[in-house]
Amino acid sequence: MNIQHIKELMTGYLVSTAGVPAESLKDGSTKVESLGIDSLELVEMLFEVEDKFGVRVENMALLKDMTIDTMAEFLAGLAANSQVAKVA
Amino acid sequence: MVTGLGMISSLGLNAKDTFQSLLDGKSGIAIANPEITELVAGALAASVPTGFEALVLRAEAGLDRATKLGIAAAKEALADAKFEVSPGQNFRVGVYVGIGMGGASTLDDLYTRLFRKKFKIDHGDPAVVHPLVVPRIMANATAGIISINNGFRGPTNTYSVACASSAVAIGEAYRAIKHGYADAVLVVGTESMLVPGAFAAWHALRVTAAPIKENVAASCRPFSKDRTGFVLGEGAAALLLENEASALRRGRKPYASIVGFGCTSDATHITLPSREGQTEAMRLALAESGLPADAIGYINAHGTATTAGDITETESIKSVFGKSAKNLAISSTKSMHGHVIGAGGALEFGISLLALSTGSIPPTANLEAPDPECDLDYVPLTARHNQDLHAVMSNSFAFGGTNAALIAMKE
Repeated sequence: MNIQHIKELMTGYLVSTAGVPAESLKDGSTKVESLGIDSLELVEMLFEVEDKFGVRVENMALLKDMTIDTMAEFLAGLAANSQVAKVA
Repeated sequence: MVTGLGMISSLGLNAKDTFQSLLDGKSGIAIANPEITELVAGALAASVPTGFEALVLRAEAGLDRATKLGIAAAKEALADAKFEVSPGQNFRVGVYVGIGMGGASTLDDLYTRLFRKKFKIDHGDPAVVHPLVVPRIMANATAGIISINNGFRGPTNTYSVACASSAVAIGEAYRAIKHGYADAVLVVGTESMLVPGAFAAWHALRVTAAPIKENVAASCRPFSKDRTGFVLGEGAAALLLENEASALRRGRKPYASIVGFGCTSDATHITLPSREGQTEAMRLALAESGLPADAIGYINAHGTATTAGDITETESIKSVFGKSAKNLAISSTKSMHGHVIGAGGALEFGISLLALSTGSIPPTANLEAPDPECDLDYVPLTARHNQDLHAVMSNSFAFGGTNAALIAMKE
């Protein structure tokens, strides 16, 4: 399931590279912007997903106010559409 | 004055191990990594040993290798000096970095991934690249990160003049302190280009040493009649320069004081050295030091083991030192740590300071049969101990024509 895989990529980056405590990520309804990461860390986290799933987020404003769960769902949606587009 | 030293090289992960290996005549030169030898069969390199990654933070793992080497050397120098910046002093402490290329491994990785996708070897959009490539490859990445890590808010300057980069950084830091623009400057020379793209470019210039198959570690032979060039290396060195008041506040005994810096340009050829430019750089350094030529006891030569380079440097030293040239101990430590390009000036000046403070002069390794045109005392094969050194010089001469000479004197 892409949502779960994407969430793992996001949380893996946040803990191992951005230094976010793992316990802060247990609750999927936590807003990403409240995790104390800066804009560069956000784009670096997105790259983990973009590189694996061949998607690209052009409008970063769309991510504002997203939680860990809604961001994973949003990115999974982009990935699914990308697959559809490729098949079509 | 210099109160802290850090080194990371093919000979060791700190200054002590690096200097001891040099005194023992050990070489860090070996067959290059498989990524390079796939491209250039039998290629040589002086690579930093595995294990250095443990010296940087996990969050710094993604930085370019040259930056990580610089961070490690900087940490050692600051710990050696027991230096901590006080809140009232932080705008008076700077970071000067010398680096020839910067970002080589990051760029190599970027282009590999991009072109593999472009030519459909790998799946994906070639334009999707790591978003931090720019802040990782920019020449001042190392200076920026070290300034952030330590809260040094004085000037952060980066000098990129090929093989003279960090010698010029040291000279400019010395001037900044001397003329009151800073109380202390951490100078870092760093370089890491042991990746396929950059290595192939160096190989194409025909300046790198041919491997001696039966003993690859002895392939770099400065001032020897059978020399064939240098071995590309990687590494970093850091020196903490402080004014007297800053050092005395902590009761720190310095390694030495920098007393002369000469810097010139050849304005003749993009790669060939010129005697006039080198001579004037050494003369300027000597003039600033106020020392007579015979006060210099040791020169760490640029000594690249190229045909043109070693003869030109020998002639230049004779021009400057006249009769006393014959009494100088001169060595090229590149025979053991390889040519670390932008890091070379800081590494070799650091080695000169250790020679000055310990009285032990590292040799020119592999110098069994000198070139008759290189007829000075190059300290062949074996280190000399218990030397009564008063002042030392370190030469760095670069592609592009920059010449830098630094002189340090015992306190």
